[in-house]
Amino acid sequence: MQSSHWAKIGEAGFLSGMKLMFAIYHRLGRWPFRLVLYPVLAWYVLTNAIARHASKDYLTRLHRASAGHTPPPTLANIYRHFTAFAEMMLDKLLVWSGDLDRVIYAIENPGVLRDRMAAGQGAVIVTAHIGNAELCRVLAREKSSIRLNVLVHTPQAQRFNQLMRELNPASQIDLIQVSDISAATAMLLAERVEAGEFVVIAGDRVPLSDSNAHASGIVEVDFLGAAAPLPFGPYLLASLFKCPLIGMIACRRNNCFHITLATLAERVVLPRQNRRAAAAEPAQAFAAMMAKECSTAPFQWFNFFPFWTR
Amino acid sequence: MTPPLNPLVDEIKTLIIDSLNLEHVTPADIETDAPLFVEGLGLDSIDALELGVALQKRYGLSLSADSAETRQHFASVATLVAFVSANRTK
Repeated sequence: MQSSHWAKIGEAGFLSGMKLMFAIYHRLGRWPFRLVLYPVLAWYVLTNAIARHASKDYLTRLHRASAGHTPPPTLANIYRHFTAFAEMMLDKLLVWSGDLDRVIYAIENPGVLRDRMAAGQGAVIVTAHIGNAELCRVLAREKSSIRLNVLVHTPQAQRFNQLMRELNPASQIDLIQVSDISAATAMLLAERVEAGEFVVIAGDRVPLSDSNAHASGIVEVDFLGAAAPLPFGPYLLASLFKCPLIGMIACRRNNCFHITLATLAERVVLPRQNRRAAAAEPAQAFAAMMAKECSTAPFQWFNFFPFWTR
Repeated sequence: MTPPLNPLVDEIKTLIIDSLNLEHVTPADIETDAPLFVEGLGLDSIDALELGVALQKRYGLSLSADSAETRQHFASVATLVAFVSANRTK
């Protein structure tokens, strides 16, 4: 009884909470938001040792990998790292509102998507928690015919879809909740990719447990000089759909957003005998793309948990 | 008297072999009623995804998200034949 009661409160609260945040932001602007967000942030940095240590670990490794060109792992820089995270949350609201006229952005290698779309060819797009992946929404605006199917782990996918349609009825983005990729999901997505749509999946967060070793599981890569696990899912999907694998990172550099696109593989072929080993090559290509972005925009890495194998 | 053979039986056996790249396996090696997964042919869960996508492409099938139902349809060549005949759109 108690739990279903709480679940219902959570559901109602989620939508109204998001709408309230949106209303404050829309009417009052960015500063009232910061007044609330920054103290919360300071409290978070002080109390959340795991996140703080993760930030320090990341800055340390990046500093070393860049031979000292990126900010050293000082407490001030750790706070700046979390500040960038808070600013990204604000940017999300800007993007959710569909108010994209105010977003200044540049697209690197737009041909990567443009050519596929002209040919009616779908693809798997692997993205990361670097900067604001939701900026891929500007692509949906720029190319009104693009259809994005975004795979997410949260059970709130349906509610997000509802919210996005309310905020922006023209939304061409479908969030699909997947805890593990089932045959039913694979078949649905295969049909969409064949119709020229795109499947967007995060390539930097491994599934919660490896025990249900389906499409979940990991591929180990070298990232900033040490071994790190990446999810197997993006490479498996590109191989299932026999389609290109595109990397996309949408990241703030000063006051301009950069959307970087790159073809990581025209085809991903995973032989039945050693699928995971064969996924290492495209996964490493994606890791290299992430590392490059981190050295360009060091505070935009938003994985505040122990990321590396050791 | 053997019943008349459904052409889908061989078609689906060939589709399994081709989509999973099963070398050294011929349609005659796959028993129509034997389990495809774990036992029998010994396919795994990623094979199920490959097979699902191949069936979708060939026959325009879709599945409900119910995993018990998926397991039922994917149990053997015989259950796949029944599923394809009842639900194919191409």
